[in-house]
Amino acid sequence: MSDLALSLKGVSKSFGDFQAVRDLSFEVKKGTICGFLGPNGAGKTSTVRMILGLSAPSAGEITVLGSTGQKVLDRIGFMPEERGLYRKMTPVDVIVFLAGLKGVKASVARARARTMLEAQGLGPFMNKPIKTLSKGMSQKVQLIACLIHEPELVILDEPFGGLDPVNQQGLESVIRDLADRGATVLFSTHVMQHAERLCENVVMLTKGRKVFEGTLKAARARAPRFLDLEGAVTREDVMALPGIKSTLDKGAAEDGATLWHCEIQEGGNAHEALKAAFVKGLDIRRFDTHEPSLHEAFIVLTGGLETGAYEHV
Amino acid sequence: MYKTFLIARREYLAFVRTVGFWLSLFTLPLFIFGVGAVPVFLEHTAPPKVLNVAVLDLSGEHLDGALAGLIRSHAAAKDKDDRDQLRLAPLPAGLNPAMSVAAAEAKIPGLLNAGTSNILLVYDEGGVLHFHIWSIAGQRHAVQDRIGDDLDTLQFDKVATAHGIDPAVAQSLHDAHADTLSLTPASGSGKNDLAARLREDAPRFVGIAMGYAAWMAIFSSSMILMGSVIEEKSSKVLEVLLASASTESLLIGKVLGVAMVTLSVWTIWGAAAFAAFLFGASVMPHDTVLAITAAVQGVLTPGHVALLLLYFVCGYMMFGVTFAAIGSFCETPKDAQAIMGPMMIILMIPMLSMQAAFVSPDIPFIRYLSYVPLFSPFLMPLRLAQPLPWWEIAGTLLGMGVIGFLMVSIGGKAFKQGALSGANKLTWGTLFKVATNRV
Repeated sequence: MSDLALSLKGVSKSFGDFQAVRDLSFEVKKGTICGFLGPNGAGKTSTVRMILGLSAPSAGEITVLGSTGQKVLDRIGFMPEERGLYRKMTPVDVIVFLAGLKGVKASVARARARTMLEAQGLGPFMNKPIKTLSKGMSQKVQLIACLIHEPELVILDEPFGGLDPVNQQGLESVIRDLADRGATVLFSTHVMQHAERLCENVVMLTKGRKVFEGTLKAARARAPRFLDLEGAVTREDVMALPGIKSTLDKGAAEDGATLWHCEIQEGGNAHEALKAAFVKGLDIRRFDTHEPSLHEAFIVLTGGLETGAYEHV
Repeated sequence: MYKTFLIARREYLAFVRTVGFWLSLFTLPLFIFGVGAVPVFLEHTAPPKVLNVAVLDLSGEHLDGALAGLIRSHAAAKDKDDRDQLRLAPLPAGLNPAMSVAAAEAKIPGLLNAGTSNILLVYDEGGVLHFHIWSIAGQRHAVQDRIGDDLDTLQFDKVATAHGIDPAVAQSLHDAHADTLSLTPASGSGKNDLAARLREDAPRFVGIAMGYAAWMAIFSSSMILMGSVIEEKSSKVLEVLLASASTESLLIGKVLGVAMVTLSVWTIWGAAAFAAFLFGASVMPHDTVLAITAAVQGVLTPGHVALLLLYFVCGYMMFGVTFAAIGSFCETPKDAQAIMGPMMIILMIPMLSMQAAFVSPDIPFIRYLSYVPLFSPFLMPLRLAQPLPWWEIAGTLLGMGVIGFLMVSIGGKAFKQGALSGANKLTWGTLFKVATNRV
């Protein structure tokens, strides 16, 4: 039995002349949280819709929970980017209805809905029309509807959009709980902080093409690392240090010193550069190493910033 | 199947919980009741009219006595449902049997009042009796309605006497009529049996009733279906639904839900009508009730009923799925109204043809039109009133089945395409792409 919850092989999707997704392949292991990252218009929603069978791929193969058809829909929980519910129905009724479509008995769904609504602080609102609820409350109801049938694979399309920081924190906690009970979570976002806190693996997409697939550490490793050096040293002194790829003069400091912002070469090491600087006896008065964030990796990987961009500045 | 049921049930409950549903449920019966009951109520609450009639006989044939007797006899033998009172009034001063017709007609309008509300002027011109009944406002026609036939008889008697025919013989000639019946082999066995004749005509009436019922059900459901899809699309629920159930389940569930709404309304109206019939039967003569019961029994065979229902259900589903699919391309009710224009033109064709089909169900135009699957649900129930070759029935049902299947198939794709593409309008290009899987 495969340990993969999701597998895409050479998947493409075209709308007329526009190619939304190009030759996309990636895998998500069962029980993991995977971030599906990309800027707006990268093809994330098109891919999610193909995974759910809402639209057919122009090419390629998608396997979800071991099946290539729509048979597994009942084992998937999905929260779309554009969220909405029946405004005249109550939270309990709408959750029971959507659970019914996933094959959950009404009595079971009703009991679960009440428990989950209470847990989310929506107890007093469970029998009021959804149109009377705030946007945040409605999103919680939608999330409960997505999870009511205890799905094996949960797909969340931009789940943090429109949530305040407190509710974002709450949603992160829900996602962790899902993974703890063995569910696989794939969520798309263009806000890297959430992925950084939640994911083990990420898939990055830009202009319909995959630009990265792997662990957070591997993603960060693809981003430039920096070393800030302050002292009475010239650009030539700094560029002569091992592992320095480019430098940027960030201006004069006290006593004729200069602050240099240095980019470390791929495979290079800031500590080696520092060690060499001290061995050479360079007048280094202050230094700072900087490990890249996923956000920076994302910017670089999606083409927002070229590495080595400082060299000629 | 269970998902289809759940979607149908949600659709049904969502609609029956609206104020509009209850308004539509009670408006029509109240309207019908109002049309029937209000005039009767007004008539019974209004004070009875007193029809005071004075007779001015200028015929020279001394008809005043006969006319006075006529009025008195009508007043005495008053119908129990007739609340108005007919009375003989004295001739007003200023009128006399010696005056001319012109002089009388010049004076009469000024002499009418509550005490003499009607003046019956009779004169002879060229052997023809002229009865001019002058009345105050509100009593025009009232006297003529009551004694008009007797005035005709006076003229008949006058002519008979002039020809030397005994008035009694003349009356028997006047009343003589041949017994004329239009018969067919089916009704010939019971030519004196009203129920047998009703049974022969009933299939045509049932056919046109079913045609109109299908038309009304499809028309009334169209806006509900389109509105429902537009609401789901605008509230962004469709994507979640599509991730939980097949488009076929969604489409058919929606159509069935709205069908259940229509069925509920008709059931309640039918029950109300049946209750009204039972009430009517309780005050009707027993023989009449028996005649009606005998006429209704055996009007249609089970096979005929099954075919009528089949055409109704297939037609409803065929159009329902189409409307739901079209609705998925609409962003607002205004878009839906724009699309309904061409659809209404298509729907008007059978609507206008049904009258012709009722009179002549087998003229070539109606026959060929009934072969078109979009029109079969409306015209075939009428054509079933007469024996049809089996291949016509099988062919039209097959045609509807094929179109229904295509509608579900293409409609399902169109539904998904329209539901997931916010800005996609319904164009011929979009439809072509949907039909050829190019989406």
